[in-house]
Amino acid sequence: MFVKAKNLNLDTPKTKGFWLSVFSRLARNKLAMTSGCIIVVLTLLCIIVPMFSSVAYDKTDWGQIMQSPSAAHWFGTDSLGRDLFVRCFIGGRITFEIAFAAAFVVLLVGIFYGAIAGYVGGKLDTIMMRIVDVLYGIPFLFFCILLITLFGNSMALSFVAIAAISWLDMSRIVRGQTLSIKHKEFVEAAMISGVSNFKIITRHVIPNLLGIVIVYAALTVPNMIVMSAVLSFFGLGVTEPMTSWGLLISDGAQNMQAWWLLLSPATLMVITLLSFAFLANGLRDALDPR
Amino acid sequence: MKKILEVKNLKVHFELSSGLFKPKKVVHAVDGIDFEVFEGETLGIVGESGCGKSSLARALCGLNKITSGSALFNGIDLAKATAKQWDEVHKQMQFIFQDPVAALDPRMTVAEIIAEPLVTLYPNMKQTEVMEKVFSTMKLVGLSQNQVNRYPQEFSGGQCQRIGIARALILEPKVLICDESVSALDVSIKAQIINLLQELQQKLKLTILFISHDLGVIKHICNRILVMYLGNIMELGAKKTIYSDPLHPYTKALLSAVPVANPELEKAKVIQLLEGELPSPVNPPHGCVFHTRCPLASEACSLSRPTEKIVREHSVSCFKVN
Repeated sequence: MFVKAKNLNLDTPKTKGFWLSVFSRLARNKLAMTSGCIIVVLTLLCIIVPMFSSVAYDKTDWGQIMQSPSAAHWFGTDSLGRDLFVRCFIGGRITFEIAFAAAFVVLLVGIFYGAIAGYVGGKLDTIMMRIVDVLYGIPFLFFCILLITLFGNSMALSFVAIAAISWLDMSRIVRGQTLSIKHKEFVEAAMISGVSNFKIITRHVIPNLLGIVIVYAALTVPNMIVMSAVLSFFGLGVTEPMTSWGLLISDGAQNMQAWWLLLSPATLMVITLLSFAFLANGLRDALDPR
Repeated sequence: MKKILEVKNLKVHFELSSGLFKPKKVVHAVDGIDFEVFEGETLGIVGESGCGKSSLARALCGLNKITSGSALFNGIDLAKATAKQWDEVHKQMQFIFQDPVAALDPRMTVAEIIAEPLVTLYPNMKQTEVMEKVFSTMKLVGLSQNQVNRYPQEFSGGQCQRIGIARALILEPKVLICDESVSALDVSIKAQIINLLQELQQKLKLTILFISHDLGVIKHICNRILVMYLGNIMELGAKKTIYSDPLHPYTKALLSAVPVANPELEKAKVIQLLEGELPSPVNPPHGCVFHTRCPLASEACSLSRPTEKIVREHSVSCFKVN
């Protein structure tokens, strides 16, 4: 940060930093670590599989329609003879892209909006939070349909729609936390030291918020995945031949006799969601040890 | 002796929001007080919880807004000070908090915490110079150099308070405001910190405003004592005379409540109990604010507010004292 005692070549024993001790506590939680590994592996698979697969995700093969899983097509094929294994991972890629990008926007907007509202307080806080309340009142699906009728259907739009709705929760949580941090004595000590308000927010408030924010972010990503799936399920956002988990599940739900069409994307999604939930749980325990 | 701080008719009021159409309620936390602080002295401010002593202290260093009146510090009126002037004030007046652990940011190392005021108020200072100062201040308050990269949660309460003192002292202030700075510490640590403060005061020629509800501590450390009740000054005088010859009925009641270490004396002691509750600072009583609980009160006390007068070298606000 702004003082680097380490540069002074002193004989000062290093102690574990805050994040290092959090990580060592997290590492002891096997369930959370396994979940973390699963998420990393799935993310990598989503990147690698479509890149190196011998068949393209949109390659139709009329001789191979509705095949159950086999050595050639591990997850089977769909009604157009496309390989479901590749489609599951390209769908995962899209789903993850939307989820991570939306989560990033949610974090950025939510943290700053909430921190400013909470820290400044008074009238500004009231106005900012009433805006949030009004936006809360707009039904999610209605909002998406409105966006799509106005701007046409596209993947970017589903990302925008999800991000625009989801930062509201984050900003509320951050505001609440900021309110409690604002009255802590170390913030007042910083005021007496002449630290500017902006620096107090970035140097004292946000670092102390990060614990809860990280936990919430880990819970937000699966939320985003579900939301993008819901949108695709209704045929909004991602469109054929591109696919996403939601679209694959919707497709599978319409062809229940071909069980593999539903089973593979649904299983992948369930595993992902559970992993995120366990990881968030582990993070919460690691961040405030009791 | 030179005056370092001159407070005149200072008021700190807080507005309570009580809904859109209801009349605004006002908490009269500090309601018109006058006093002076002289260079090098320790002024004790006592009073029960809710009497406005913390609001006063916080107003003097800019954490609460001054509603009206003036507080002259080194030629700067704190009631009208600009942001730049506050920076000057903060260089010379620092604050030590009650809860030593809560006063330190858990995400910062000791070096970062202690250096923060210096880095903020002297942005052009070199990194090496800053660190030299950090080390010399740490030595001054009895911390060892090799603790510099640790985090506050690795320290005990007493050590955390030392870090807090180091942070206040790194700017070499003239005035130190201690708001209940030892109340949260256990007895042996309390003694250490009090001794440290006294030592530092002599070494650095500090002026200390020491706020506490603990009369024992105040007796040990202060030169002069200011007794507050419901946002007003009841009595102000030298320590010796306040303890041996309290004049104001509130001071008498306050002193009689201090436990005595000798059990026989404690049994024999007559405790002067005050009747009733502390009135709400939202509607302080008319006239003398103490008249609702005062054993000496008469009709006249509820009509007008007593002005301070000098009786036997104390400044007392009471009609009944002559």
